[in-house]
Amino acid sequence: MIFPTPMKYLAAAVLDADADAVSRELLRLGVLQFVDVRSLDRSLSLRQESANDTRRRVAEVRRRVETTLATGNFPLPEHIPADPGKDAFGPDAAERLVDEVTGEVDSLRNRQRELQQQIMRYEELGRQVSTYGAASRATEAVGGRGYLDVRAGSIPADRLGGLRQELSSYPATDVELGHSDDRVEILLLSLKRNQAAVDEIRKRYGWQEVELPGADQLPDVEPGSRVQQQLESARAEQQRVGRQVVETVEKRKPELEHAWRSLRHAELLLDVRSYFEHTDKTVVFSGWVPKEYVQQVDEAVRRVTEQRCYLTWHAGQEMEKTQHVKVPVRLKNPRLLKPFQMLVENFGTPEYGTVDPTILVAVAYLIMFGLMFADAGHGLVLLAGGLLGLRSPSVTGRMRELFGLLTWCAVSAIAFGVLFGAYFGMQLFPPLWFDFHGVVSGHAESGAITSIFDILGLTIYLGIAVIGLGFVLNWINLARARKWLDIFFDRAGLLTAWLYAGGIYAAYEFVQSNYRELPAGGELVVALVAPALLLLLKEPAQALFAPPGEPDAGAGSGAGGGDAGAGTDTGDGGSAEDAARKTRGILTALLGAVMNWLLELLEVASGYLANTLSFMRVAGLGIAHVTLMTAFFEIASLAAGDGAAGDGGYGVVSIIILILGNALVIGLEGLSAGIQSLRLNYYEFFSKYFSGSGEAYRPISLTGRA
Amino acid sequence: MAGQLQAYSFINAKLRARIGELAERSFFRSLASSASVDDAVSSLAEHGFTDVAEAYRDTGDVRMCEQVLYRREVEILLEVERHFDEARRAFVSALGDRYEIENVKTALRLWFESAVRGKHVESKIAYLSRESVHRKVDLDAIVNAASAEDIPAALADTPYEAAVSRNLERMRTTGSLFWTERALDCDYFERVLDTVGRLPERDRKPALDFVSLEADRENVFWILRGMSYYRLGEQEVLSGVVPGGSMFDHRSLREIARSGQPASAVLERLGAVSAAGPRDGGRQARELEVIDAALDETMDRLVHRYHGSYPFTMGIVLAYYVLVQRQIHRVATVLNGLAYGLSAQTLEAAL
Repeated sequence: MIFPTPMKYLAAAVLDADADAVSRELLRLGVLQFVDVRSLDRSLSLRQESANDTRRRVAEVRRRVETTLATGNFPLPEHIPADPGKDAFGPDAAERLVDEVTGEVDSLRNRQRELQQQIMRYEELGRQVSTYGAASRATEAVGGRGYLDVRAGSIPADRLGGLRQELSSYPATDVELGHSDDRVEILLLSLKRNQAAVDEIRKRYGWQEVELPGADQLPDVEPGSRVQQQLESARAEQQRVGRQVVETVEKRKPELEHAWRSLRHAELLLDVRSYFEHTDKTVVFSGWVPKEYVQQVDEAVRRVTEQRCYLTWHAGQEMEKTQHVKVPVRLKNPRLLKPFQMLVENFGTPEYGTVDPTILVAVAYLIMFGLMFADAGHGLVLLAGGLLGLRSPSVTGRMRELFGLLTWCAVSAIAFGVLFGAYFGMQLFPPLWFDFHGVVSGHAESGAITSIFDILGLTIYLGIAVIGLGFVLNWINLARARKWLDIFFDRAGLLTAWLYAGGIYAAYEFVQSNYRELPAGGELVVALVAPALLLLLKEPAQALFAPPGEPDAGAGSGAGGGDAGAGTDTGDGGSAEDAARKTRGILTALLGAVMNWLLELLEVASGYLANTLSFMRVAGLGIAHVTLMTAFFEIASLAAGDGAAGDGGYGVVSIIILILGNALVIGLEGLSAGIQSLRLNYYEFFSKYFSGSGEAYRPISLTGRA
Repeated sequence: MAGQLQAYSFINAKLRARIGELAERSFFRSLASSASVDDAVSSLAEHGFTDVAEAYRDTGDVRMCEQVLYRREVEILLEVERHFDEARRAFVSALGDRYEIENVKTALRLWFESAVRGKHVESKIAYLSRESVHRKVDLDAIVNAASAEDIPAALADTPYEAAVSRNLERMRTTGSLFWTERALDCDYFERVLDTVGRLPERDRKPALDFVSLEADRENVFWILRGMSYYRLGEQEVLSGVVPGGSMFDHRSLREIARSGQPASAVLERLGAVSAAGPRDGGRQARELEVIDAALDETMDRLVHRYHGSYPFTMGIVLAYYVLVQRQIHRVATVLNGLAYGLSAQTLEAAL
């Protein structure tokens, strides 16, 4: 958990005839991160499998299956079987299936579009009819107003359907008024701008104008409501067709999912095969496997090839050293710590063999968050939000980790809230540690922490602890990488730590003396001057111990100076000019080393001071949290009036203010505390030991795990 | 300086963050290769166009997606407008008038097609965007106008009434809306330039740079269309030029109009003659494409310049607006292209 999983490098050769079985087995296991064999040895004479066109085609059809499923709002299948079976879809069959489904969908979309146009026509007609207002009775409508043309007339009853069909491409509708013999009397509404075309249609359908009887003899039909009715029915029909689209996809969902699984499997298999290099009769491939899966992979390859294979395994560090390759990094943390692993990975992947800081980030992050957002009530609200998110099936991937993080933060806020006795800005129970609210409000008189300065001091101690831990982790990383010299001289090495500790001691003594005096001269020499002077040895030491042929960048000036002398030493006593050049070279190197030393001292002093003081933001945000809550309680008291507040009672307005205030504090402060905790981890903690330049382990697998 | 900082600190941060969220060109290339509109809207839904995808899934109608996109574009200007003081608001608001003008022009064309030419344009009328931008323009009154004389009344109390009234007679005599539309465009540029003049000094230059380039594009294509397709004479075509162009001022436009080969003259000025290829039958179409691309490139450079320069000016607002406008137009192009069954290559070329 504290170090990434050890990795082993596999170099394998199998018979061409076994290549398919091997690729399937490797995909099933899903633990091999393939490496291009030729990247290690360019001189190898190998032939790569060329299946780019097939892969492109498979990927294209797979994507079409995906979008077809998306049309029905269906998620992609989660599980891809190791063996898709004999009835697996090929790209051609899958494409035929997709074409069939999309063909049906397209015709439904056409129907939706027609209905949309109809809806818009009814909407336009509705707008015009509505200009009649409430008195839109049929009798009053005849003749029309505004842009509306209204006619009363009759046509043969059996031709009504045809008339309606022809008028459907215009904003028009009719209201049936009654029947006489074989004719139907209607009120026809259309727009004046289409009068000529509508007249022509009416004529074709045997239209005869009629005089409307008195209003009391007419059916109680309003043109407006008729249009509204038609509009609603068109909308309902459109929604029905929309549902049919989903149903069409749903009907074929099992086939589509099977097709997707088959194609995805084929695609991954082709991915695996793309790393296979061929000789005449064999296939060569290589890659990285986590140590715990080595035996499994070894046995599986030997089994499927019936021992007709040649496998060699090499340790990650050995490959790093001999082949200068980057070993992929696999972080392995318990499920509960995944949200913090996400934070680490968001910054970068640790280098192979170095510390995986996930668990340490978890502890540091939660302490910082808790100190900034210490309120058990607010924590409960966050907890509810976090748990709700985690329970929701739609929350997946990184969002799930975020909700996990929220839940952890909530637990921290509750714990610190209980320690400080803060519950929605009130002290419902006595604090277990100290009264944060009381300290900020200036009425805490007893206990370990009684003033804001104590809180600031507390966060500075926290900063020193975090930075100190960063030092230790850096030494561990350097020791594992056998960079012994760097353990002393690195920017977060032993000498810098000595200097940092000396600085803290001096500052502590200064504060203890009420800002009057620094520690005694001898102590200062040991605490600050000695490590500072020892740092001066950095460049000479690096030049002295640099491996031959690999001069250290920092020691460039020193080595260059030496070379200048050595290169021009002709062995015949040397000229005065050569000696002068040599002296100049040495002087330049010395001067360079001193300058670098001064700059580094300056950088260390200012950098570490800033890093440590940066932790005061934890106190700052904690104080802001309390202050905001106090302010909202003040506002609520004012809103309640002096009397009510004095009685300890709040009115509705005050309660609303308090609810909104709490919501604002939870939202705003929660976000700030989360961001600041992250910032402190990334900049103050990680910068001491974490390079983030590692390469994440990405095997080809059916599940995408690891 | 403090005023600029105050005016733009928030909007600048907001727009820059949004610029980072805009889809890459490669996304539109892959969108163009979608197998169907349904396929494309699924991809769009994953790239921040959920509203467009929903509009299509509800209506099956690409033109309803266009309406959503149109509303998005307008919303951006309205949102920016809300952040500004009076002078800056007036400028952004004047830019927003462009949408009203386009709607008025569409309504006029539909009225003309229906009332004068007797064509069936009902399906097109249905799609007229009736949502207001700054003011309620009664487009129904235009499309339902019984005669040309009723149209100015439909535009009463809008800045567009004057242009339409001025050109009623010309519309009747020429039997076209040509000059009415030109007058609307000319008035628009005049109003925008007027608001540019009232901007704080630091904003004037970027505002003028963008507006001038738009005026140049407008004038170049007006002259090319006017002379090549509508066979207008030199004086006639020059009388329809909008004010404010910089690369193509009135003098250079006159020279282009006199040259006899306006497209070649424009290409020469843009330094893009060779890009148009050999003088053969397809050259004319190619010339227009090259001119369009060259003007786009000039706009790209302008956007790039203001995106990377002093951030607290109108430059960043206009750069963002241009980028969003392009993104929206690309989406609309792909959706329409797919609906009409265009090939991926044709669509990619159109992007």
